[in-house]
Amino acid sequence: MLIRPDRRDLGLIGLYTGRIITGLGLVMLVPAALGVARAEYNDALGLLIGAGLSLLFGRLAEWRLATTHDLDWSHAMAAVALSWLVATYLAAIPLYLSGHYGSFLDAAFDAMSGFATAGLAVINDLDHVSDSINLWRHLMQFMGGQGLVLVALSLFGGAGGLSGLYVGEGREDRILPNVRRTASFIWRVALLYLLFGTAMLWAAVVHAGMPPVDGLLHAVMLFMAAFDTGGFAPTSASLGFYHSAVVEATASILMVAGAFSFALHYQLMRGTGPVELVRNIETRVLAVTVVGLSAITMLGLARFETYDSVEALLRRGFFHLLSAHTGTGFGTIPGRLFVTDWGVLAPAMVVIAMGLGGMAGSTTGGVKAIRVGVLAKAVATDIQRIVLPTDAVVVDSYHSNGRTEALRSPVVRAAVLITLLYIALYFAGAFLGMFYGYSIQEALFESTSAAAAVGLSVGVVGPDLEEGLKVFYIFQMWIGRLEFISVFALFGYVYATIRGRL
Amino acid sequence: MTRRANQVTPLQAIAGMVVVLAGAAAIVAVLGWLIERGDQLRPLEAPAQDEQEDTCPDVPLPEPVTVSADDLVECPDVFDGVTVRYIGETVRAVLHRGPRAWVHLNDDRYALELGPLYEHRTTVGGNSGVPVSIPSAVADDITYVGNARHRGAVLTVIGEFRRANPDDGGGPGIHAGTARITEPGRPVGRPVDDARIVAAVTVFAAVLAAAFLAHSEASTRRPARRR
Repeated sequence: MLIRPDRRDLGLIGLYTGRIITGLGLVMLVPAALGVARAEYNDALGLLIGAGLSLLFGRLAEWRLATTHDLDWSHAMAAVALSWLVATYLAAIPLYLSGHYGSFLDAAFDAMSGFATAGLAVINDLDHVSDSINLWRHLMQFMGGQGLVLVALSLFGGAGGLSGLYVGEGREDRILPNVRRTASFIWRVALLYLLFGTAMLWAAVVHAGMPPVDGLLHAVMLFMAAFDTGGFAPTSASLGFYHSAVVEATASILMVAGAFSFALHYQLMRGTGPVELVRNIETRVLAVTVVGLSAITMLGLARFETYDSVEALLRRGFFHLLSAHTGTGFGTIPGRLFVTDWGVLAPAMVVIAMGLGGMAGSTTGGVKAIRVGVLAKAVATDIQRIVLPTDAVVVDSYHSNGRTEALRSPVVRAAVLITLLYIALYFAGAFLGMFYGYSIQEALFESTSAAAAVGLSVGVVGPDLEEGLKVFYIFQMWIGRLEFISVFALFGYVYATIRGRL
Repeated sequence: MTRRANQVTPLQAIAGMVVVLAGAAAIVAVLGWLIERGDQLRPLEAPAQDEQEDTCPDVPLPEPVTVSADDLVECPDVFDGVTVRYIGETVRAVLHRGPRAWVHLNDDRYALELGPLYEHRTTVGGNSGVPVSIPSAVADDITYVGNARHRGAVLTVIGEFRRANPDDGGGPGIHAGTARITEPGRPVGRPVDDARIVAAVTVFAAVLAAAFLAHSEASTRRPARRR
């Protein structure tokens, strides 16, 4: 029987949503300060209004809903899904006030794209946008990549039930004994990479010819987009703006680091990394899929005579495949060339790479390597069962996050379920795209890019994208990034509130 | 309080959702008013553009052929190796590389017609542009590059379009033999909107009030818990 939630249940969800939103409001003050420093006063005021409304939401929730009760699992899941929607709404305020968006829906699209680390954008005239708004776009990716809940956990801590909040954002790996220490570790790793990654990118973009001050801003923004596998870029030409193999190589290192799970980063920092890299099922899967898909992509490009040098195949073919597989979405060519200059096979490999994604517990979207690995092992085990004598006992295992686990039916079932949900999500968006008149290649490319939070585009997503597709892509980015469960929990709460029994 | 006293009826739940959504819509309406109000900015008259043909032109083309960025990405094979004439605004930065420099020239309507969006409110789509390698002597004369504070120099270039430029690791671009600055660019500005100042101060006053109320509530709860 479906139990109707009471005021206490709804209050708890509202309270924790308010705490998460308070974290958002505080972070919004950073680009506001940059806006003041760069004399971009109207955009700085827009950011202050957004920050103020976020803090107001958080304080009102604290005033009216504060309680000593702990969150249970379902409260936490619903709070995460709700806080991502509220955060998108509030983060869109300074974007909308910047005047670079045709409607509030457009601003909300880019806000969700930022938090989900998708990188699809419907902004008008990006090349004249202010530095403060540009930094805010990239900061959203940094927060969304690490996790909005992690921002709040790190700033405010909280009472019990934090595990649910943590898992609600699509994370399963508990690196350290408790969630707060895990959150703290993830932030330490991210800040360490921020320091070194920004320094590397700064050197690279200055080497490419950028002036030092603007180069530093570009480096900070590119870092956030690369490490958090976001894909926004400071200019409309994305990474192609810099015409630099050094910039592309540096970004590639950060994209791969972002596609690694934080549990793997932990193993690497403990010194057990080399062994773990070889044994981990996810690194094995990624190695196979990146090499395999890259080879087919380059074959497709060579067959279509798109590029005739190894350097071009690497800097255009391999780079885009890697950008897609890590869920980043950086480009070094105009996206339209995927359709007009890349033939059919290579873009198809890019779509598959986008759909697969990186490691679980990383900042990437998509099906994730752990599920691909589990499914592959399950198929191999079933084949063994068929081939071996009927009384043979076949047991398989997989190694992940420093542990070796038996391949049990519930694990396989969960992997199958989530994989099927992702495939259904990719195709649902593709069908809607075809309804609006796009070809199946274009519709599937954009839908997969949105649902797997990648951000590569063949030119369909832009300011003149149809409203229905904007709404559906927002939904895809939201549910895809949160890996379904917490969104289902929120829908469950809404349904139970209306139809549940006392 | 008993569980029954804590209950939310379906009607209350629906009414609550409607109130929240109406509140969110009201805030958006106020924001829209903030954008639309008279801050000396009015949307520019943006005449509709002619529908462009989807088909690529026939070869051979009379050179130099005048092209847009859209022509080049829609028909890269047709224009590969062809001498083209292209006009665009320099945006973001000039990347000096020895005797030559890379510039990204946008030919969208902000670049050639309306000016940066920051100084008006006419949204007409995204950016479109092409990377162009120009002689350093011309690059040195570029004073302004397009960004929020400047309209960038507009260049007219004539050069060979390369679909997969070997000098750029296979990226598309124009290798300009000649480049000329046809408009030098200029600073752009916008007055500070006083209504935004009022809105920001009002919101932060409300934050302080809410923080005070939340703090008072927490203070009254704490002794009660201790007892």
